[in-house]
Amino acid sequence: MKRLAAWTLLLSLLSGCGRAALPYAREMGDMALLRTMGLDVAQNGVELTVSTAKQSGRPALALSATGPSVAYAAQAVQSLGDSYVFYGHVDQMLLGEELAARGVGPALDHLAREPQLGLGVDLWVVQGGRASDAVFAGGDEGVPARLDQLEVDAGLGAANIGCTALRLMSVLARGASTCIPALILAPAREGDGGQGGEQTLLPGGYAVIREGKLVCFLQGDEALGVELLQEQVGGHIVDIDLSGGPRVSLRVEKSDVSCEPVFQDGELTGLNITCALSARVAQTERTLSPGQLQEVTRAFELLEGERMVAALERSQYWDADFLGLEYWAQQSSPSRKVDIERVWRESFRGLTIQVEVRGYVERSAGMMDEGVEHGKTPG
Amino acid sequence: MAIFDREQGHPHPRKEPRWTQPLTPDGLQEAYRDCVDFKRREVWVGGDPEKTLTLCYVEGMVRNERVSDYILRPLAQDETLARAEPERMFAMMKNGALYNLYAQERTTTDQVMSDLAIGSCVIFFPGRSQVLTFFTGTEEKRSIGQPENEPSIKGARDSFVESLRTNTAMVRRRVRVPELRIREHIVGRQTLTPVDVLWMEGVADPDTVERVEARIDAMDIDGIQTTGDLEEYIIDRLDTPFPLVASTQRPDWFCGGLLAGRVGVLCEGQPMGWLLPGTIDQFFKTSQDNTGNWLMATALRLLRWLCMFITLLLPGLYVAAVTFHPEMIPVKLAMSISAAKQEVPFPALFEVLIMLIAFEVLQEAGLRLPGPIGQTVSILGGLVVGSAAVEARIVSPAVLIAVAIAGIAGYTMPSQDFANALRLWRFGLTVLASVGGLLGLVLGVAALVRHLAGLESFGVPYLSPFVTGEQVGGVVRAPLPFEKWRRGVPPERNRRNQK
Repeated sequence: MKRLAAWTLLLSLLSGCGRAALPYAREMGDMALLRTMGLDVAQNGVELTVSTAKQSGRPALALSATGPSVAYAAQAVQSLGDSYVFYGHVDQMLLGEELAARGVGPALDHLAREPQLGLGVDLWVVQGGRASDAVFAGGDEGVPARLDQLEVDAGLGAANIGCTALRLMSVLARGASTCIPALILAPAREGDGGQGGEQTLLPGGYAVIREGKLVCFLQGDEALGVELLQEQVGGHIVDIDLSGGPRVSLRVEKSDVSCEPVFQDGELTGLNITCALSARVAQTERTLSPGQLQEVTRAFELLEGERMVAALERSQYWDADFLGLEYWAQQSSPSRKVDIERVWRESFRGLTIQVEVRGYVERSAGMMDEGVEHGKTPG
Repeated sequence: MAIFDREQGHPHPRKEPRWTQPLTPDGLQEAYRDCVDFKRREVWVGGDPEKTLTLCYVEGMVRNERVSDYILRPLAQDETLARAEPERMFAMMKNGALYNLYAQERTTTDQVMSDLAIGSCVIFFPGRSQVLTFFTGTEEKRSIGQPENEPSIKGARDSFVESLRTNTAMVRRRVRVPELRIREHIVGRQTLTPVDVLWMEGVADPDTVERVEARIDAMDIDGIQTTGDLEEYIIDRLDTPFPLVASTQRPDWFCGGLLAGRVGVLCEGQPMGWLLPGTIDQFFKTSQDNTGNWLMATALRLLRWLCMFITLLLPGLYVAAVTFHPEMIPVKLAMSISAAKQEVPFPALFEVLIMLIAFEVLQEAGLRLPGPIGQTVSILGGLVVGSAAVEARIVSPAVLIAVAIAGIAGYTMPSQDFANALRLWRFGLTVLASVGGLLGLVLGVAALVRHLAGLESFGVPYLSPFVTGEQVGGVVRAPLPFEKWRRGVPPERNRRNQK
């Protein structure tokens, strides 16, 4: 009887009767393997732009369709081109600024629900532009190669910290804020490493997402302050002009942050942030004397402290704890975890945040010069 | 499955006695009529024509010098023998007047025929129904060489040969105690092939010995010419491609099996020995495992297990991934495969099957041709056909690589029989993967595990030691001083093997 059942099952599967129980076969040669998705606001809802990477001499394929929902637009894309559009390898998503400002929820929801997609997708927001323009800016080379390089650069500290859809979704699920890397669509010029199109994508700081919507962008010192406070420094360069002396370039190598909540009369009133920074002399015109090294260290602490303060001020201004200060405070005072959680939302904007920076500058291998503590930088 | 059940069949009784001719020189000559190698000559004892004996033998089976020196010379020159009365002469010849080591008194034609077949000569006495047979067999045989199928880097280099007695001697030289039992059975109506069963008394399971002997005794066939003639009659099941007995050319490996409690079988004319029962871990071990460092041996065993999975699953995994689950392929590899497949007109299954079959054809062609030509065909065929198929866009390069890796991984199996079984299952799993992707592949693997779990060899589960609580011992080769127990053949006796 068992044997009969087994044969029946096998024959039904082989004859096609059991097709519903089997996965659907599709040859890879007939597929367009998408790498990048771009989402923008369109008149009738959403514009979805997708792109493959350049492969074996074949130019990248970019397709675009609109629809009332992301799923609809994705279905519409399927009818374009001469290949089956496969989303299983999408690992990059660009969000237009307007769409991000309206909310990233629909995009995340599509990523979570679509079987071919996943939440491991890296996210970017295109500052001041549309995602479709950024995707088409890749030209024949395709935008995926440029975004791949930005991911690598992020790992090396040469670009912004990455953010996956999973991370964004988990942050939003907690009702918290976060920041995701931003890109700027700039005219291409010789030597910018562009992919041969008329425009190229450049790192553009961070987009702050609060309650699922874009609230502001952080650039320059603010963006660097975010990286310092996130302990995600990757070797950015700090130039310091000594008074009457040489210009010294430092490579920031490590950031170690601790955050202590301050309570007065049982109420949370502030945060004391201590940041230990390590840097190495990357370039100098002549050997630094101990006194000059102290001066360099002082200037280094001051400069980096100002960057962190700038990021913190923006965080408090927008009432968006994208730096995860609540979590840091709870970790350092586990016994007050509930108290902090209870008052955080109401009191975050009014907290007094003190930043203390301790700089350590290494001028050559094996010779570490400990910087002098200069007290707290302006908080 | 029913179609593989051993057919009880029609009665095929053995004729008793086999030869009806009388036990006389004429009777023998009648039995051997039209046999140019049967020889008969009259011998005068001490040169006396009144005392004529008849000597019969099969030319080529006897060694002429032995007959001349040990039989004919004393008959012609021994005066005591020449003066003896016939009754006395018979007794003297049986008990040492002839110098031959072996002397047997025979009373039936069947007995004499068996003796002639192994190289004895027969002496007939006028007026007596009994005869004497003297073993004077030739020892012409292939000299002991190296085990070509199981080469040794470090260790013994002798190999079994076609002579049964030489093989038992090689075993006896390694295991010198009388507890090494060797019992002989004659198999084959037409070939009368001796088959010896060897075991260590007190170590091997007596039930297994009994079963092995019973199955050999139950063999009623024309003869044993190939290894399959013996293997297929003594194994438990025929509905499996997996070997249920382990065979080896190496006497040292054979002796190791005996000491571990297995039962050995040697057969005249077969340059190998069998070890019973066969369990799956045996087919991943080599004699080299015990000659090198235990860590290295363990690593190599793990590598063989890994290669087993690769050779079995890689083509199926490729088909499943490319046809059903492209998302599981890393992005850059997927892009490469996709680009290559765009020019190939065939589905992935067809590509893989083409290459698998081409691989088998090349292998078969290489085996059938003489050595150097075979190698040339294999190399040229592999290179030319493979690259030409890729150039012609018949298959994609990834398929060529997957099939080649799977094929080469299969060659790491110490047992060719086991590797052949994997080759067969590989086709099935690939087809299943093309039907249901990973689901089909997993179902196929489940069917394979179920099949293996259902196999037994002489009462021992085929998946021993993994199903007998000694999983680690099946893969890891522990330092030999720690291997204090004989592994893998439950229920053996006297389990402890060292202090």
